[in-house]
Amino acid sequence: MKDVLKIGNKEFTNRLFTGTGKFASKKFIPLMLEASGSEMITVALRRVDFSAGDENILSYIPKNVVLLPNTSGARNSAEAVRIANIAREAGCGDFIKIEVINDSRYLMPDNVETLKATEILVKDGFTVLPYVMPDVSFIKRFEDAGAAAIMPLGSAIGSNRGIRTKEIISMLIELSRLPIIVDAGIGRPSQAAEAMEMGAAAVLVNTAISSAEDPATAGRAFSLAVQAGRMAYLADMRGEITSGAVASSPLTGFLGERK
Amino acid sequence: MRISVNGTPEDTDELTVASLVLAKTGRLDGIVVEYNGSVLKKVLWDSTYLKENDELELLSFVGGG
Repeated sequence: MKDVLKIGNKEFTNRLFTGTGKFASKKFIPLMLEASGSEMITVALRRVDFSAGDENILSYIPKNVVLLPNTSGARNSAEAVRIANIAREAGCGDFIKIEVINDSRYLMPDNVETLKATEILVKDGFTVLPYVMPDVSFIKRFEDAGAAAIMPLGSAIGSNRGIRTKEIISMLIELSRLPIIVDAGIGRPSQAAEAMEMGAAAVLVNTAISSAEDPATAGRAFSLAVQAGRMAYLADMRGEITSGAVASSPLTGFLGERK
Repeated sequence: MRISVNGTPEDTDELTVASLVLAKTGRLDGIVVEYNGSVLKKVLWDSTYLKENDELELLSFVGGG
């Protein structure tokens, strides 16, 4: 039986989701997607910069990769809903990552506005993936709102600080029936593996890959780490953390022992 | 006539949304237009004539996480 992650009406066999932000050159994007096998990638919506020779980022993303537009820039639910509708009208499909942020220093998401936007957009037929501050009290609210997953941050966007919210994410994984996708702050493949070992359904990595000297290889490294972490979770590793040593062979029958 | 593009008022001689988009960006693909608060489908750009005080947002998809 294949280990498939179902989100909305789509099935994913690769549990590494990626982003298109901050690549030194957009030409790395298709190379990274090929090397990592990532099946879903985020994009953002902005006003056209008339002074720059803007290219259409969508032309760098192969057709078989699911587009996950985000609502970055939204400061409240109304703005998030507007961006989601524009993205859908533009032909991006109906997957949407809700990102509502009012804090410019830490870029922490606003769970209240994110929940409001989730309720509205689910009713309007979107497959909603809310990016949130990990908080147990919001689990049931997002489940009831019809979110397709919950995406708690590991640490601040772009910070490479890893899974700082580990304990709370562990609770979310235990208590929620929704897929928990750790998004933001994952800086190394080992951190992606850590999230997957805990039982996360997937991870989303952007900065760590796009800022690498070799984004394609970095993408592949993350993909392998996600696979390793997922396999470890499925293998149900039960080794306890002990205070002393636990010998791997009997402490009896040593050669040369004299009584 | 006086219109607003991406939040900035400007004077334009362009007649249609399509010609404005082309004049401002040099292309027609990869752009989303919000015309007076609603997304205007590309098929309608050529037949939508600009009028005084129209508000347009010219948007595109960019890299993001």
